Amino acid sequence: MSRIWDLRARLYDVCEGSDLRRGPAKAELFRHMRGRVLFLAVGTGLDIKHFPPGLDIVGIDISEAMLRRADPRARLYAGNLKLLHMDAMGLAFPDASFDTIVSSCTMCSVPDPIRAFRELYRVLRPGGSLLMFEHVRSRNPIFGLALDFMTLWTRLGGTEMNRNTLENVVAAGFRITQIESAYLDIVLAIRATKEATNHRFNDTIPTHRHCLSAARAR
Amino acid sequence: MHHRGQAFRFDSRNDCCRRQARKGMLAFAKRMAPPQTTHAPSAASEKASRTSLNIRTRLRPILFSVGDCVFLLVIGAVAAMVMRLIDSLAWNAVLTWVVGMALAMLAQTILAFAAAPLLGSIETMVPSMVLTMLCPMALDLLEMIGADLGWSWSIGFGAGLGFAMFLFVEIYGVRCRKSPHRLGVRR
Repeated sequence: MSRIWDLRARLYDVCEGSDLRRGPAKAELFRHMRGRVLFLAVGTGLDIKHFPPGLDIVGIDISEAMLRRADPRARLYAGNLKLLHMDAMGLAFPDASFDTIVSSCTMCSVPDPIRAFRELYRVLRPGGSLLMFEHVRSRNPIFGLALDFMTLWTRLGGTEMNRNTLENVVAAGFRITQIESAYLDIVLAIRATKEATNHRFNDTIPTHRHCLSAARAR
Repeated sequence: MHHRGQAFRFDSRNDCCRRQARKGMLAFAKRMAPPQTTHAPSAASEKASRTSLNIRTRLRPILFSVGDCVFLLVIGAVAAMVMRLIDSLAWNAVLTWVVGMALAMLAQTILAFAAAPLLGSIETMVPSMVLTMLCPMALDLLEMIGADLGWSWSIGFGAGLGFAMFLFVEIYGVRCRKSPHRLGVRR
């Protein structure tokens, strides 16, 4: 997996970053970063310029080539930003060690997203926030089908376009507090929280129908 | 360097002279400059900067919409051209449709990658892929029912489908932004 991302690092900024279009939406989401922050899959550091200044941030990535490219951008950050080579599915941090966890187009590329979310749940302190800028499968059948079709070849490059990240977040025990559209119902700015009370992981992944009926009942 | 006891004469080739002249000019400029203010920018300049920010914020989505529209018009026209080209080979209808769609999607993927740095990767790839699925299918269907469009009408038809896709994306985008329950779960 890391080898694929080492290769993709070369063209990431040009072809995949899409910063010109998504930059303001990311900046708006990242405004909610507080305290000690864990930034997942920092990549080439394209998002660093949107970080609010003066924070204590740890950026991790599975690819060393990405981290090498991110290093000059990390040096420009007006705060404390440390880059580490680490896998999101096995975080080497103690429990409840971060106030905010942030991801940007990450969960499409993690082989086992629920395992990764459970790791995030572990390292986030109770009451802490999870901020995600992620693309998910569209609920529109036409766009959903197109994303399923695209996944046939994007999977070879380590990216799945049709993940249901919202359900995975809930399944890992987080409570979703806000969802905003950055592009249709595909690119979303999601805010979730780890509730301060003791919460056990859901053993089953709820379906859309189940989640919606729970929301309606409330 | 000028030596002690020697009358000072300005020589532009001499480093020391150049440094002294620069110092003198800086001091003169400092004296002549208006007094520096340390208080916050005036209300007028603040208002002007806020107005320019508002214009940029409002202009941004319009520019991206124009970009999306032009991109989908081009993709529709290219898909129709590719389909028309394959159609001219007079193959079996199903083979024409499959090969036409495959080649149109190849062209669409290349164009989407080219436009991605400006318009965004998912933003270009997803609607254009749906368009390249629909356009060859629609043209093949028209061919099957006996409506033989010429080259220019085929390209116009493709561009028209591209515009229809743009409108669909815009309307769906507005609906997604206005009703967040469409986006997913809220617990």
